[in-house]
Amino acid sequence: MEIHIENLKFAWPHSDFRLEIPRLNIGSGQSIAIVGPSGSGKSTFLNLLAGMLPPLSGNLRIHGASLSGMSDHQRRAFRQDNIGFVFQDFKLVDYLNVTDNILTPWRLKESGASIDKPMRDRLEHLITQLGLKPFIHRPIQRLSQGEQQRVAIARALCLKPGLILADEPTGNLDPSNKTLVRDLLKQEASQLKATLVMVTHDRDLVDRFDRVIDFATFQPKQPLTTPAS
Amino acid sequence: MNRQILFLVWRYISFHWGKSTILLASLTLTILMPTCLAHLTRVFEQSIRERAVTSPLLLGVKGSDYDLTMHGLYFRSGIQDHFAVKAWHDLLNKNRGVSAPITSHFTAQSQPIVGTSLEYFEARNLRLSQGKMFRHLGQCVLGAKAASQLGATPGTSIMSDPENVFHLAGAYPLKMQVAGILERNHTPDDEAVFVDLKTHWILEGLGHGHEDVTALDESNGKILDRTEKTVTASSAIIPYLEINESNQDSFHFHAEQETLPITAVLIWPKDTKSATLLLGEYNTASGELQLIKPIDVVESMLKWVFRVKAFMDANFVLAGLSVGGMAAMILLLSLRLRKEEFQTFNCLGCSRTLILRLVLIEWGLFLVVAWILSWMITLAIERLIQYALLGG
Repeated sequence: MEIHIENLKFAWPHSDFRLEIPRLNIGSGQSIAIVGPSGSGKSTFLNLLAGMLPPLSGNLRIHGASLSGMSDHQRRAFRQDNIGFVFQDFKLVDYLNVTDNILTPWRLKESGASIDKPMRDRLEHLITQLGLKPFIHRPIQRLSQGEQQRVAIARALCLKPGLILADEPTGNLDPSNKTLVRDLLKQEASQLKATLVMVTHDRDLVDRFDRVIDFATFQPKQPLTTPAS
Repeated sequence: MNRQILFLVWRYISFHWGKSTILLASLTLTILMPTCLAHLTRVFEQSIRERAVTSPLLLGVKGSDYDLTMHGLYFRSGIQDHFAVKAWHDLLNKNRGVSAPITSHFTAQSQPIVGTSLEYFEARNLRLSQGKMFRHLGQCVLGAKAASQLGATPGTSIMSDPENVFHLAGAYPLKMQVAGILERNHTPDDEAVFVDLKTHWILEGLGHGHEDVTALDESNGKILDRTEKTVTASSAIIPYLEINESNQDSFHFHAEQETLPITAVLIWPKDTKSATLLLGEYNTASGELQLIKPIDVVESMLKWVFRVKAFMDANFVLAGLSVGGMAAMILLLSLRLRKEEFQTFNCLGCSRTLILRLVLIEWGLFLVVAWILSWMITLAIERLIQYALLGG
């Protein structure tokens, strides 16, 4: 799933923060590591890609679809159908066990269809690949940070997305698990032929990515005009 | 219905079972109070009105309409005023419909003993489930609840309650043979012990049976004086406490039977004209008797019930508002607590309408379950009241 960005601008209302990307093209199936200092807009960029934030101006196209021109409802539908997101704070649902958390994206589809055989096979595959088998029925609160992270990854990959966004997925992990999670994401993205965009602070992890983008370069010199200001 | 949303709703409710239980209990109570009161009032109104509707006219001594109705229809109020059975015989001669006398002063283990005639059973459409109708003195027919309360079956005997243990000159208890048991019909008839008028008069002490004094000699002290026409017996002659085949011929009354008392007569006039004529004939200023329409008495009684209900309803509105306010507060707090969860659903691409549906389905489910629970409790209370009042 290729990404084309032109003159993308974003700013938070009542804030000095601003993000400006004159041009950025990411090819289909590429793996991109995004690095940069805190507050440089890495997470904001992922939210823009996921359609959770509308850009202030500019053009953002993913797989030919312009997110800039979409309504909130359309962006949600696009996100559900095409994007798997691994959140920094996991965003797991406390009242669901491991299996049900992984299946949440399926359950939140408008169709309300029952879990079918391919989905069950997919679930089995993810559980095995991510080593979640010993605690599939365990409540989320009783999992370690690393285990919760793996559940969050499995959930992001559940619907075989064409674009995988990961916001510091290794932030809370020890060095061996960091490498493991990165490799898992890379491997799954490769199997799905999906584009992977991963934000990380850890420069030791970026060596195996196709490209590394430093967001320090996207800090504009002039303040942007926001709708609220 | 989206099954996946239902699944999420169910998982949320079962995970937060404590909060869900409190919420459900609050909603159930809010719905229960007015539902239960309205239903029970309706059932009470229906049953009390039905009895009155099936008892078109009631004849009794002038006095309280209410007491007469409670006595003649529900066997509840023990009224002292009575009139001669001749009045009933006169009424029969008028041929203006079916009528049945009522007289009730005694109980058998707290079940009212009702003296009446066979016309009563026909007019009320009461059918036997076991045994036969009473045919002889001293026999009785039991309502379904009375039979179960007394543990009686046809062929067994029951005792009437003594009028007063310390009143030696009062009426003696009478052992009565159970001839039959009526089918349950969920009316006060279920509670009654029905006897023939004559048996009731014997219970009242107006008739009795004892040894044949003409055959006794003076040596045992039971005969005080004997002339050609009369025999004066002493108090050593003990009246029979049971009427059976061997002694039933000895029972007799020391008064003209036409003068013996009854307390009410139920009348089912054959048409409106007969009813109107009867009302005109009995409800005169000079007459000692009054003919009332029980439905009028019941209607005026129900007006009071509904006034009380209206007052209760107003209370329930206030209580409902406070409990509803509490439930709304729990909902708002719950939505606030779930903000993060809904944010997660947003991030996963879930539509706003789906999240709204999820919340609405959850609340709808609570409301439906609370409504079902309140109705189950209402019906249970109704059963309990029916059991307490009518034996199920």
